[in-house]
Order: sequence, then C-alpha cells, then structure tokens
Amino acid sequence: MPVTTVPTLATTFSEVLANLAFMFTTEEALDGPASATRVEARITYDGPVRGRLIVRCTPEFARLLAANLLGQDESEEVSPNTWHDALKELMNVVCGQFVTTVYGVEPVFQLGIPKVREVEDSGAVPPAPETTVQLYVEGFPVELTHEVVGQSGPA
Amino acid sequence: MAQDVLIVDDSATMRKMVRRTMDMADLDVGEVYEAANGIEALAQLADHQVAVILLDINMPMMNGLQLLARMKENVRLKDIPIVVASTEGSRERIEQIERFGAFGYVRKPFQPEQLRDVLEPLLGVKGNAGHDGPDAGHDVF
Repeated sequence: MPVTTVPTLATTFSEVLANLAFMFTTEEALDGPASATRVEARITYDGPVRGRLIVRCTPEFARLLAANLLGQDESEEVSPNTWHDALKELMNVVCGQFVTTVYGVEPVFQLGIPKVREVEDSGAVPPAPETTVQLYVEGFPVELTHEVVGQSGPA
Repeated sequence: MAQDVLIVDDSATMRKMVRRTMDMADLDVGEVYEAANGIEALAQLADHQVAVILLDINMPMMNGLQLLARMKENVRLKDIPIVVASTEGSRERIEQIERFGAFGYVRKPFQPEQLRDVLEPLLGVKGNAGHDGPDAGHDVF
C-alpha cells in the first residue's frame, strides 16, 4: 500500500464526481460567506485491510450533487433526505473505486452502509495532511479523509 | 414491444438515476418497478412480470447475491435475466456474480452507452438509436 493514499482519493473522488454528476474540481472557492454547517459522510470497508473514507462538505454542495444526479434544475427544491441519499451513494461509488485502485482487484472488500450527519464546523483541529486533502468542487470546499483502522490476519 | 424492468437498489437516488440513464440510452422500456432490497424485489416479482432486473449488491435486509440465489431456486423466477449494477471491482466477486447466474455486470458509475450495451440484447432500443460499440466498465457473461 502506498505511504499516503490521499492523492489517489482526491483523483478517484474527482473522477467519480465528473462521471456520476458532471461536477468538476476548481482552483478556488466561490465568493460569498462560507456556511458554518458541515455535512459529514462516512463509509467503512473491510477486507485484508480495514479502513474508512470521510467526506466533509457543505449542505450547498450536497444539494447541488443531488440535483445533478437526478437531472433537476438547481432552482428546484431538494429535500434533506434526497441530498443525504445522494451523498451516501457518492460515498458508496467512491469507496468501491478507491479500494480497487489502492489494493487491486484480487482482494475482496465488504463495504459498509454509508452514514451522513450534519456537524458544526468548529475549525479548531487542522486536518492531518497525510490522511486528509481539501479541494474545491464547483467552488464548494470539500475535505476528504482516508483512515486505515486495521489489518486482518491471514485466513 | 416495450419490456418492463425492475430496479433493485437501496438508494432512491440511484434508482432515479438508473431510470434517467435508461431514458438517455434510448432503451425500449415499458413499466419500471422499484425495490429497495431483495425482500421488496421478491414482493414486486410476485405481482409483476419483468424482462430484466437491474440489481445492486450491497443492500440491507437481503443483498443482491442473496436475491440471486433465491431466484435461482424458484422455477418461476430463475430464468429472468439479471444485470448487476454495483461498485464491486474485485475479480473474485465479479466471478461470484457470474457463478450465481447473472446475465451481465455494469460497474458504477456507468454511462448510458455502457447500460445500453448490456441491456440492448434484452430490451432493444427505440427507433434507430446509434451504437458506439463495446465500452469498458461492463460485461455480458
């Protein structure tokens, strides 16, 4: 396994977003006040290696994701249930692609059921660069984390 | 004649996306039924005859492989073609899907052309829609 998988996670996330939702990474943030609310989506994987992926984003990013996935106009209302579900599906697809890219096609991984929750952005703890990368998608800030939590012994 | 389809996926968003992608792929689809897991799928199949099932693997309650196994034991359901649409990328799991009797496999995220390539032999396309030829990301077993 590479020392850091963060570049792979950023590439996989960007490719999946482009293919799935026609959303693209950008150089900079959108102008305007940043939302204090963050949405955190998590998914675990379990196989020869156990780990988790975490995405932290704004509700505005999640609503745009849902609208794009469903082919809705941006002005149409997107319910919280819908954008939660959209984020979960994004995590599922990203994780499936990510584990294959990092670990190859031989090991079998069981993906967990994705979970989404809303959190207040305290901004107190800076992310660890070896596990976390920040990027912008359509101008919205998105933080991606990959943590390895254990390795299974030989069967 | 347009054929009916059952989409089995625990994500409502993904079920809507698959509907939309089938439209974009110009597939000749009649009624589209939905189920959020294997148990709901069996209930839908008790009420409706479909030409093909698009099936996710990673679902709560009864997952895709469990549904495949149940269907293969049922005389009325065992011959319905099943196309697995999943994030699975491991060789062993894809071989397992084939051994369980799936007709084909398409990996998420998929494009309309990939879905059309795997579903066209089962559903046909509307009018004279073009065909771009085989593409990566899908298999017909």
